[in-house]
Amino acid sequence: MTIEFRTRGNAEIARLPDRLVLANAATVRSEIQDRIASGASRLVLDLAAVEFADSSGLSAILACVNSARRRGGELVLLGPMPRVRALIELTRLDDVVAVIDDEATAVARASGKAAA
Amino acid sequence: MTARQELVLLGAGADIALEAVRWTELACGRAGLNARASQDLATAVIEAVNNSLEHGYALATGDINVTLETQAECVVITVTDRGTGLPPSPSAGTPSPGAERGRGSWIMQQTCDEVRHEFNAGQQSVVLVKRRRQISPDSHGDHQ
Repeated sequence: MTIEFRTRGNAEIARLPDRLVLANAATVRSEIQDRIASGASRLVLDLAAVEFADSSGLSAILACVNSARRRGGELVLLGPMPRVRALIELTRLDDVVAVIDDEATAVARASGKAAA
Repeated sequence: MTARQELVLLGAGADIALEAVRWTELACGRAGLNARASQDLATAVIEAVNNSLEHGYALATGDINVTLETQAECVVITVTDRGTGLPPSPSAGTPSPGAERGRGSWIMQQTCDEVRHEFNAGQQSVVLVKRRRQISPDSHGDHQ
């Protein structure tokens, strides 16, 4: 496993590795989609450790967003570094998935609740 | 004045991304680019290298050359492979935010002033151009 999962409230938080690129995008996508298939469709992807991402990594994230929504869940992104945030904004990924800096707010959003 | 730097990636595989990023940012720094312009070009280089690996070498390994030329008006980075695949369209339009693929060409176009695809003697190249008005060393963080 390249991803650490933990539970907070009704959501699972997945801490992604330090890079999200062609070399590991398929593995990351597969591990998250396996988790979604096992019932964890309310997910927060913690990007705090991701120093570098490319279009393959963003495609993996989007595939997971679509998987979660097909199962009636939601996926949000937590705390990207400026470089990764810039890529998310450049590609307008933030038009289709929420990017949130506060963990409690991200968990509430993924759980379908207003932030406490 | 033209200065040239070169990175040769022999037997490059999908794990080559960070090496290409670090080299590009160092080379851009030596060429006098500011941090933002260096980051833009590193972001574009990774997409070009990915293009070589995915389309040129069908996700197997292969040799990739990356050169950086410092010219009076611009910095030019060329990523070359000897693979057999077809590159993506150089005129790729705005990707749908919900589309799971198709962002690589868009990223290169948005982070560079010019993107060209060239073919010569069995080699395929992606040429990335950043004009000098954007890369003044004292315009740190500026992105015109």
